[in-house]
Amino acid sequence: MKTTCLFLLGLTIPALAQTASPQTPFPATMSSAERVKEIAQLPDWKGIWRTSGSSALLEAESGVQMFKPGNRDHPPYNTEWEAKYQTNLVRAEHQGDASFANPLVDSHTLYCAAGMPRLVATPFDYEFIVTPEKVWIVVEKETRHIYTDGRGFPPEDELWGTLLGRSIGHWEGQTLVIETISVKTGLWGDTTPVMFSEKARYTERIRQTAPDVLENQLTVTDPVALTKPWTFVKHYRRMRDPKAWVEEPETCGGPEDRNPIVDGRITVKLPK
Amino acid sequence: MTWGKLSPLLLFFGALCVSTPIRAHHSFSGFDMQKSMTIKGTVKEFQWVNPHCWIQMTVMGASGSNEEWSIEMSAPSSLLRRGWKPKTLKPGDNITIVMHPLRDGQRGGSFISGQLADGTVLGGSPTGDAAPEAKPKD
Repeated sequence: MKTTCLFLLGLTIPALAQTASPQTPFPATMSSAERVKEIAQLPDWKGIWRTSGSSALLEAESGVQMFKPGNRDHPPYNTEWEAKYQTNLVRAEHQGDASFANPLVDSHTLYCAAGMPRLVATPFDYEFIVTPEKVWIVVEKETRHIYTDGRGFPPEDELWGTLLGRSIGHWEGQTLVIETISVKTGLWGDTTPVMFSEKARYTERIRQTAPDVLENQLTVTDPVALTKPWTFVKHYRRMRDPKAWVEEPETCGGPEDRNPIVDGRITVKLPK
Repeated sequence: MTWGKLSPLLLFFGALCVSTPIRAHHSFSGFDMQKSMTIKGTVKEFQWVNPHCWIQMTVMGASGSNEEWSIEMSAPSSLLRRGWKPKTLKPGDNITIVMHPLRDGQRGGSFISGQLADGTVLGGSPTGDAAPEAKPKD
């Protein structure tokens, strides 16, 4: 049961034992048997999972339209953010257009990282490493750290906008509930420029709905950009081949990247 | 091989294109996604590299001289999922490619589909276009 969890158990406990002070044992004193029992309560999400359908945030999971900006519903923006969104739709459409004055390049291209909330629905390989205190969601080269040890968020003056924000979680039965805040603004939510403010909060409810299907219901609340919460569902499907390899992450910016950003535009490098 | 015999293969690749999420870290807006263009030539080099693969092709131009075309594909891992391998294409292979051309008229395009001289049909468009457009013009 829970090969991954037991593997981590073996790795983490000796390491922690070397650093924890006698006054503050961490994790809480627990026998191996108790520990195994605790882990056994958690769902078994081992294996490689892939987004079912498109990498657009919405439930349009046909997979074909993702590169067409605006070809889907969009968040319930307030007037100011709706206007910004409409402008950005046009700017995004021309991000590789040398004749367009003010293009907007995809943040995934700029950072070579999806960030949140886009990482909820990328076309990359997902792994869920579940332990009682923490869940890691590894999406190839990006890793989400979700603390389920009961901690709260850091104080306000220790927060700043980052690609993945800060995530804490808890279990409601077999459903993992994740709260994420402090995500950098300006990140594209998907291949159209859906954006949120740094005040946005992302609430995910991840549960297994079939032996090889995970459902993630995401609700975005953003008092700066939205008039009401925005909820949608994405799915992940487990690869049937237990010996499948996680593929090499899609890197960018190296000498073999023939789509450099020049003067704020994506370009195509052709042989001279 | 006739077009009728190819249809199941095309459907197979077409289905893959539709149902499999696309792996790409950048927009393809430099290409005219409303247009498709077919070119025939030989493979000069198949660049199986991250972040995106490229087919370098030698094509006979209108003036009778050879021109080099660059066809952008998706990531190696994405192509692998669609049945491509690093050596699927070799220098000298005759190939017909359907692509979305660059907007600026340079010799480049975004791969839609391809067909080798032996009739093998290749899907795997980075933008999710289905393969049936690969039917070569007689």
